[in-house]
Amino acid sequence: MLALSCQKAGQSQKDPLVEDSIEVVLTPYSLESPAHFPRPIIPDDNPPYVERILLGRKLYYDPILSQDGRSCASCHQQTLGFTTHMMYQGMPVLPHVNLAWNTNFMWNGSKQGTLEEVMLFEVQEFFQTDLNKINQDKTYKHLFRKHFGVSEISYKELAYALAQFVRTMISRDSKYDRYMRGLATLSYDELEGRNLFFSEKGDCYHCHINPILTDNLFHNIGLDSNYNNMADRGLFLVTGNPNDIGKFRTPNLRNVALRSHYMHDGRFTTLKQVIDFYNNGVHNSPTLDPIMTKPGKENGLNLTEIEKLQLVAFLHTFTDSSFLQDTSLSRP
Amino acid sequence: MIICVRIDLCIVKILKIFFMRVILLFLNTIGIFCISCDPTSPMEESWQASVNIHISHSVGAQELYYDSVCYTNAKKENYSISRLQYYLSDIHFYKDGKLQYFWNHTLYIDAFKEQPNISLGNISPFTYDSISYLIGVPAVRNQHGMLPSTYENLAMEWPDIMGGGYHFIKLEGHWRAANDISGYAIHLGTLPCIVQGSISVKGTFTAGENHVLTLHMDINEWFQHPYAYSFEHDGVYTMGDSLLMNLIAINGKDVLQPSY
Repeated sequence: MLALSCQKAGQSQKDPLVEDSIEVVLTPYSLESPAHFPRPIIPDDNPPYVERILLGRKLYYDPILSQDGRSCASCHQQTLGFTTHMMYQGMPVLPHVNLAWNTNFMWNGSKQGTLEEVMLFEVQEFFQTDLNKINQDKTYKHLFRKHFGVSEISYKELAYALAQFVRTMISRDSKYDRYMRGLATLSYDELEGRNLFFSEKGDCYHCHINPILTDNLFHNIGLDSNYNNMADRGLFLVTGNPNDIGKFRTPNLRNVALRSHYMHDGRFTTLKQVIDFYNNGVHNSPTLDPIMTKPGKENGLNLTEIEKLQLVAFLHTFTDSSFLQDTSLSRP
Repeated sequence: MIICVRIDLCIVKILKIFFMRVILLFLNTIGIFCISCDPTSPMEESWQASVNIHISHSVGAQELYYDSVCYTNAKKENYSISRLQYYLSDIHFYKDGKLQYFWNHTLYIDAFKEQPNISLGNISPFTYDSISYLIGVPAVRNQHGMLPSTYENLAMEWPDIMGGGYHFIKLEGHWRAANDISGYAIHLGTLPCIVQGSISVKGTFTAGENHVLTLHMDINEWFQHPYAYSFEHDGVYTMGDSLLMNLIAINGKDVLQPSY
């Protein structure tokens, strides 16, 4: 009983990150899953704490992480669903949304594992964060000592703090979410679009699974028939397996209507173009996902112009204004 | 006065000893009762059998390889397997048509991942001569949200506008069509297409022993018996096509067999 009450009161158990001589008091944070979502992936050595989330948030918006004045938020802007209209190295920037459920990251899956591992890559390799600069900053020195119990900040603490914050970036209140909870009504076109999305005619649901809107797996959807361009080879570049040529990670459709580039190379700039591609632009290849080859649909989905617009209308219901305006995620 | 006090003290002491003995006796009785209730106690274990059911997969006599067009179906078509995910439910054991033991749960299986083990724990010994099973999700659980919200279960949901519930099986891959490689996707769902399998197999689960029963799926059987299925002539995509789904469901009735 005593032990239980001690644990509830705060962090009294031994934290592997904390140096023995430093006392750290933390407030446990309850990461709530949206309805019908799986449990979020939280490593045992980085359970969420209010103070560490706030520290991660401060870092997320701070250009101190980089050598060129950029912060995470430079390319992951809240008003756009934590992505940007800019391309990076010929690829659209994937949004930071609901990453607490991901185990595959980047378009071609070049990063796999936990958010902590991805954030470690971000600070160590992507930003090449100068640890001296961080350790000379009195505020961070104080905050990391107070909340992580370390006198010297390493890449690990930076990554863990960032992962704590990014894990709280949860979209759960789009119009579609509210419709699912019985709190909103879809228009006629949105409903018809939903019927297309979740039927064999549109057949979006096999990869954009309900309600997460990604299966977090890799598929070749038939964008190309040859793969001379290295960037189009996708997962193959990671695994070296010819069966993986042209496969890319299914992007999450939350706030998809806010994006200005679609597909791994951003070749489409409107949702209408994306649907036109699925309707009659799919190329065959040996690794084309079996789901993309349907009898009677060799010439495409045969959607009418109205049906395409209805699908677009439904995709707009994935826009989550609460997420876009959530002050707990905004610049501190 | 002094004597009286001593008599009182004696009575109190006697009463104390009496009540302590009663309490000790009571605690002993409870202790013995608790031990006999413990299902894992050695005394009880010897009266029970422990059974683990393993699931394995192959394609004919060949091992299962990811997306390798190295298999041949009954119609001599070469094909590969890139996905095999299904639910195994409600395993029942019978003797002379009489139900001996039932396991009424639903287990998700991905043939390309580590196979889950069905542990029947400590059960009363029995003899059986047939086993029935379902590939799919029985009606009582085949509704949105009835299975835990794992990534796997969410990915297996069958859209509500197509009847709801879950995919019973997703079997996908590629096949060699003329000079081309093309895809196929065998999906089953909705209750009329649940696979009701049965196996004639004799066995006894003996008290005090740990038994292992391996149920083996020959994936070729989905395309073989009683109907020789052809990707070219019958079709490469079953979802929403009740005729094709029924053909596959019938072929699935003997797709699991005991392996020794």
